[in-house]
Amino acid sequence: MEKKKNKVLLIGWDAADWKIIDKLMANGLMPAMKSLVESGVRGKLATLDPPLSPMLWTSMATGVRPYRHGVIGFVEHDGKGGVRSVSSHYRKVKAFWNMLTMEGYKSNVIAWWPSNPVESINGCMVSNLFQQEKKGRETMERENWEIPEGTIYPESLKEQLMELRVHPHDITGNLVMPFVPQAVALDKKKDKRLTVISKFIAHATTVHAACTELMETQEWDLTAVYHDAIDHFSHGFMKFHPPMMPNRDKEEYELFKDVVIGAYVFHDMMLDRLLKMIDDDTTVIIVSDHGFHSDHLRPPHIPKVPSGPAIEHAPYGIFVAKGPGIKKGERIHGASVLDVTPTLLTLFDLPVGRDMDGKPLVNIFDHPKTVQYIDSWEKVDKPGGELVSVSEESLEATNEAALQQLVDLGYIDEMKLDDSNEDQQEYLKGIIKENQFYLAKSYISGGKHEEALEILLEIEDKSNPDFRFLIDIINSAIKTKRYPLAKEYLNYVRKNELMSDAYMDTLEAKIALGLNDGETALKMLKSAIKSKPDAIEILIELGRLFNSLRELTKARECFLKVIEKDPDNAHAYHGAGVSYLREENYEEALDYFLNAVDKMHHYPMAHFHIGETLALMKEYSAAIGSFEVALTMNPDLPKTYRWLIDLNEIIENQKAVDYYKNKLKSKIIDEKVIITGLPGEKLMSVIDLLRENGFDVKGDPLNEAQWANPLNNDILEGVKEHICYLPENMIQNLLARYDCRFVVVNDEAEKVSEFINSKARLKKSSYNADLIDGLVKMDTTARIWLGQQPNLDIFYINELEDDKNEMLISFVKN
Amino acid sequence: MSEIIVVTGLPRSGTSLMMQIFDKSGTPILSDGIREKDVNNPEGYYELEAVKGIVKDNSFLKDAEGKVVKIVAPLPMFLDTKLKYKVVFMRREMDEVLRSQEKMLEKDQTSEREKFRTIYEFHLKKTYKFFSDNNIPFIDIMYSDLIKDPENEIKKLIEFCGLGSSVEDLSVVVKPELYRNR
Amino acid sequence: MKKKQEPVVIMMNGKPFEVPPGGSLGVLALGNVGVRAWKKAKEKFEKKDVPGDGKEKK
Repeated sequence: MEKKKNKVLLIGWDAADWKIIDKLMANGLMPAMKSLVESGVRGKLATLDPPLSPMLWTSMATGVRPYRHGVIGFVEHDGKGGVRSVSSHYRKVKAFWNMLTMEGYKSNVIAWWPSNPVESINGCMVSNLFQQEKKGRETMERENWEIPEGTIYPESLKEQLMELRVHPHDITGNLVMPFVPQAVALDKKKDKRLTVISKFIAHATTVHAACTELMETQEWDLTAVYHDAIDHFSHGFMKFHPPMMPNRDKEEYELFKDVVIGAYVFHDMMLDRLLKMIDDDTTVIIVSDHGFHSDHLRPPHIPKVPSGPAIEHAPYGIFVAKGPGIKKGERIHGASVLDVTPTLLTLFDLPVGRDMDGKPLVNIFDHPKTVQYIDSWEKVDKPGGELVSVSEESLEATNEAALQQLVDLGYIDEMKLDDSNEDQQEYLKGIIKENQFYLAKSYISGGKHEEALEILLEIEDKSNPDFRFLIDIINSAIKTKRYPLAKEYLNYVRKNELMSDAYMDTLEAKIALGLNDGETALKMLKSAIKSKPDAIEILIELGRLFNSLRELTKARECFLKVIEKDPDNAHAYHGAGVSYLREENYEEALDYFLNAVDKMHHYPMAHFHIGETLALMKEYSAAIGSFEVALTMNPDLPKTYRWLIDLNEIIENQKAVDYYKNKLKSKIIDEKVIITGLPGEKLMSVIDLLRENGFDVKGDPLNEAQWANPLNNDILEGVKEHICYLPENMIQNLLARYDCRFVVVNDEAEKVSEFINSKARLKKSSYNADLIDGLVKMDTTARIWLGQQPNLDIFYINELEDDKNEMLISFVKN
Repeated sequence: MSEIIVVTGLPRSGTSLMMQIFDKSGTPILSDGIREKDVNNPEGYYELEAVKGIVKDNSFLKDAEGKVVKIVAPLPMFLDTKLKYKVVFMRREMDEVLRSQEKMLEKDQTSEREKFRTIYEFHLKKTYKFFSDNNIPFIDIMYSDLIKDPENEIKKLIEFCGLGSSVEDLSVVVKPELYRNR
Repeated sequence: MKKKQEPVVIMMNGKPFEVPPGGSLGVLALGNVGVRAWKKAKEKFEKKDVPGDGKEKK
């Protein structure tokens, strides 16, 4: 039987943004888009960091993050002493056109980025170099307009498609007028902007012509086309889009204020044609890789760093889908660029790879959709299309940045990348470094801070400091709990005044928080907020700190301030929700948490807190639902499992209880009982008591040196004992994968300081006051931390009494 | 078939001392013949030029069967996995390694201590991973243990590498004064 | 002597539309059909003598 499925038309519009589209649809300027939205679903598509298009469009085509697919920059080393636009050579995984080929489906893929050289898929492929009129730095004239090898597959289509190209020089004044009505007022020779507009129009037209030609003349199951024009138009002209930005030249504004609108309108016209070429059984999907700020969030300057313009990108692109079996006139939530390929696969009833980072958007369907899974498309041994031309210098993806570090350490000789001269070598090294930075950012975005840190340290170079690398080193060091490292870099940054004071204060606050030093953290954040009262990031950190110190009103003030400035800020809603939760105002808390996940669906902590709030409101089933969502997003938090076990016990769902108990067992490295408290006589007695009762307790409160820095930052690494003493300033460093119960011994700082002094045989007066202060501080922050951990089993001991001892022993037993 | 013996570890972890021990045991040192054994610079003799080019060219290992070569971590990652090895991994307290390095360099490096600590941690991790991924046998020798109690550590070494020397013969390298009167 | 060229006409929104040699965004938005028609219109505009019968190429 023929496995005929309904066709799919996938359209990519780089940087398309809902804020602009919604306005234009309301004004009747985008009727084609409006018709799609009204008869299909729409939603926001979350981007990835770094929001760089070749990385994002490859993530869209593969369903995995950049550190998995290997396309990590705009340009790459071409093996001949130069750079070239990023190609398909470095892609390490299959794209949807390969997967469809493997299953016998035909695809047209036009101008995807990156897709040069094209692949011998089942169907046709036209690479993103097809519309290019530049060869290196030279512009080819219309008459001598070659296309590079590997641009079109199959070759037989070459002539047919080449005659459909439009050269920028063909774009006459009347074609530019709708974009720049006063174009006559400009001196075309002096003002390059009109040339630039011509170029974008030419590229879009060329791509569209190739797309429509293939749709019309070739058999296809999927047509996928990519346009970069909106992104280019936006980078060039969003600064002139209404409302006029402060400090802009009024004349320039008047001249160019219609350009971005014109771009969107033209795209809608092209969309109209595409829609007229398909039938109702074809599913249409439009996506963009990120948005573009068009209002007060437009940055006033672009930083002078590579890919500085990315600061103009907004975190959400668009997603629209219409077709048989898809809901009508509804909104979907929680979509990200990683979900496009899984969704495509589902539309063709093909399995999704379990190793994909994205998920199929089953909520677009008006009926329940079963999704099949396989381990990985990389393991499927069927032909999916090969690169039609491979460069002779088959470039091994060697990690050249790591090698440079080895050179700098003197371990290996300087390595020449190829035969180019010294300047070129330097330039190339710069490119490689930059790409490694993007790779590190991709790791950070995926929560893999160790891997990111490794790369960042390899590319960091104090002879040529790049503040972007330094910021991320400090942040990754904090995230991997390497506080001395974070401090070291922060000191370096402060000494060389490489960042604004406010920013450095914020980073220092983060370090202080990690070291349980709430006081310093607060001081730093207050200082930061003084110099930058409106800085959103600082307000969020400050709000979080106030939450942990239980200064809930102050916390709320910070978060509400952020919401005022940026109503889409999910973190602010979450923070405000937490403050209400702590006050036991569950209704308000829930409202804010729901807002948070509405703004950002993939927010495991927010879903977790919704679950908690609902549980505290005794809405057990609903709470279970939220915890389950939190679990799919972050399967590594034992406390989520514990909640699900407890709640399912309450509603007497034994099957679920057993299920989660088993899951928890497989997740946890180990269950431990942690004894903590101020290191005084009471604590020693508790430990002695346990040892006398046959328990092995690891740790000696009087020996600080035992906590040497382990390789893995796992302070419990190698600890075989079930019970372990940890000083109060270390309990926060416990990795989340340990399931811990706590025995907290309460004692008075003064008594403890006397005890410590006596052990050290120091005079009472020598440093007692400071010691007591230190102990109190440590104790307070430890208790705050413990208080923040939901659902923890804690056994507090005040006195060693016989009956309490029995309870202690049974608590400590398994 | 005899394996290639690789002495590895972070710089200043006792790798040179270990090479001296192997030298005393009569195990041939993989040498390029470029450097002569120099009383004034015995350590120099153990540095093989070819190791510095290991990334692009590890063919020098083909002549290394039954010989010992010093390859600082993480360079063992570039070993030819088709050959057979036995690895002696010299380990030393990280703080000691860092201090020793700082002393050696002319400028004050303490401002980069944590950076190097982290880098070295990554180097160790990568090197161990390489050995375990490729089933390359190794033993860890703690530098401090070797200095404090050479006989025990050397016994381990002799067993692991199948050396013909006696424990005493080799301990002399570590603690010559112990055997002054012999 | 310049012979008057027959204009290139295509259907746009269900109505016949004369393609100007300078092109129009509406024509370009039609994709392959529009580009071909435009190129033809340009070609005709640029020719000084035409021996042909104005028959459409496609």
